[in-house]
Amino acid sequence: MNMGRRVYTEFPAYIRMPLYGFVGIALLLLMLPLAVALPISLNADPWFTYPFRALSLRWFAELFSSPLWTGAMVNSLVIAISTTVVATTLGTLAAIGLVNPRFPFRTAVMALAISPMIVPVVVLGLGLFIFFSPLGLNYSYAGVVIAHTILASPFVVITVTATLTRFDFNLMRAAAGLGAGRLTAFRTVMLPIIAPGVAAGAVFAFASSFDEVVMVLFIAGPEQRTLPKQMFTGLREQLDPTILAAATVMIVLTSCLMAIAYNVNKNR
Amino acid sequence: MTLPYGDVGLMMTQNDTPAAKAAAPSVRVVRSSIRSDSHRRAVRAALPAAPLLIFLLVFLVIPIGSIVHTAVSDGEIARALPLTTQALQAWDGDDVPLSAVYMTFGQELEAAGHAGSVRPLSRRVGYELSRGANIILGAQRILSEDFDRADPQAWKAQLIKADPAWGQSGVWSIFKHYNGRYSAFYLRWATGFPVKIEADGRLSQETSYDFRSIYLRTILISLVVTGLTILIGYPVAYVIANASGRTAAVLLFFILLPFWTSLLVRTMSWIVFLQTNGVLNATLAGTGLISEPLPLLYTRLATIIAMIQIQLPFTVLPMISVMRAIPTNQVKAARNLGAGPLRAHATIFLPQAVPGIAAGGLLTFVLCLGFYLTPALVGGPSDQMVSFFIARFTNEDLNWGLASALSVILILGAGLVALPLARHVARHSSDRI
Repeated sequence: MNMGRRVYTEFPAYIRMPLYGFVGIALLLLMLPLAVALPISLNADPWFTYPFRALSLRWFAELFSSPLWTGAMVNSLVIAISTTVVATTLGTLAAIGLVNPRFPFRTAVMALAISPMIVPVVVLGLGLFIFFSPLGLNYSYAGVVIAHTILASPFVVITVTATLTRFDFNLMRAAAGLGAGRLTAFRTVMLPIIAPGVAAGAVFAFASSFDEVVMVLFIAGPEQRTLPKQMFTGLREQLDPTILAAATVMIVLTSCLMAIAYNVNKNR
Repeated sequence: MTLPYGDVGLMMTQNDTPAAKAAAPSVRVVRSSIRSDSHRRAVRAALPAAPLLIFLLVFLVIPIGSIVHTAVSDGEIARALPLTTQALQAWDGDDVPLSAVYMTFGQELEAAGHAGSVRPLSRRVGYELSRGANIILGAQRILSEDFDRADPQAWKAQLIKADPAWGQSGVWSIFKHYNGRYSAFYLRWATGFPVKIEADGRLSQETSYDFRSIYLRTILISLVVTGLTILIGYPVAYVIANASGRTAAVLLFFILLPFWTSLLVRTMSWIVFLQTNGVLNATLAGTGLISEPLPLLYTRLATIIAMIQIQLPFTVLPMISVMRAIPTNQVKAARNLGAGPLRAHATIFLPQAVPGIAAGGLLTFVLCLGFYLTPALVGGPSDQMVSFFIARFTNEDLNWGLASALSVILILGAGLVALPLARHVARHSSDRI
């Protein structure tokens, strides 16, 4: 029975095998550069080829001892954490509003909330740069955090909205019936239930800010030099293995956060 | 009392009894209180979203509005030389204006020098007049010399001594034309019209940026990337949509990996991989396939490959969600009726997957139009797209007007393409949310 179903729904082997082969090779080729580039940060020599003569952590040592790089890392962390707090707060609240069917012009507002993902970043950067210049927000931490919050908030809105679609709003009515105010009901009933979704949104917000470079090129001054900005400058001028070490640190950090968010969501 | 409120109103108009008349105001009160109640509910529903909406209004909508404003703002000339531009309105444009205009201009230029607005003026004139900035600054310099300030002829002679351009019509025609605060100058420049003139008023032969070919290049690269991501993404999406749970999860992980690895890091990995002394060249040389390293980095090929890798998830994910909804029975039926596997796929499955292909392809195309980072890092000078020039005019040339005009055109173009996409998303988002 099962065999018969497969015969008629799936391609025969002479099509299936090349198909699987194509998909496998395509995915592999897309992963190859990353898989090849990151281990080079362990090469003891400042060359970008295999095989290595020796392994060493010297580029990581340089990364964590050079004030240029450590300053950039601190800046990136400060900006990304601030962005995460602001974007997660604004995005979560907005998602709660947007899942309400009574929300006026819901489709249009949702489109506005997601638009920062579609509008070219360079255009957003230019607009903020022009808008900020009479306000004195260019070359300031606040300016960069605002710029990053615009880019990060859609991730939070999308993730939390998806979580809220599975939330049973009768629980809120029950809480209200038991005398809880709206804020108490939100804090004690809704927030604990949607927390994994909020956490996932926060991780996306953090990752998007931690990786962002175009807004920084427009808005930030030398004081706000971030890790991606430092890497970008290096990539345009002289490729140096320290950049690979920085990239590895970046990937490891965001992967850990993503893995945590994934597990929190899976356990629920 | 289960009547809907609408029927109460209907009964009212039919039963014109005194009692009903007496009851009318109270019904109206009920109605209006129902309406205000629904208003209140709508406001209450919207309240949590207010902070983000206000934030986006201030830091997204207003800045984009200020881009549009900057693209059409062109007040430097009229601001520095209000009387000159006014006096020139009477000039017919032939030959040169009256000596009195020279005097007005000279006095205004001196005043502008004290007010510090000569630099924006000279830069603005320089955009449109070849050597324009030097012509203005030269005039400012020579007016500090000693000459008969009461005689308009002396002002004229002094200016022409500074630069013969003052004895020609070009610079005066520019002053005459820009007597307001707004103009289409930057938009004309950004849409590729020739804007630069010589001192005698003829169009300049100076080569400048060819914006039309830059747009064409942007569209071409985006089309190629979109086409290739669809060609690569379709089989990938098909396999994932039809795979069993565990296999599908693993394949999805590989597709999503780029989603959450840094865009900068991925672009960097292509540099390491493709550069002259990089991994690929070293491997090829090691196997004896090539003797000279291939120039792979800073090419259009590198740009396109890197962009495909970045865009693949955006193309594949909408395809997967549409493909998963296609009933397998229909393909089975087609096969039972004698269609070959490829024919059944092409006539039954593929047409139903088109909405997913269209959504993914449109999204990819729109996102490609705005690419900046990847072409800037792995492309050559002739592979740079519109965004690159926006960034360059903003951060290096400080020509915000032109950068804004390019942005306006980019948003309009992307918006036109995105409109069907937005409609598609709007239609399907209501089922999902």
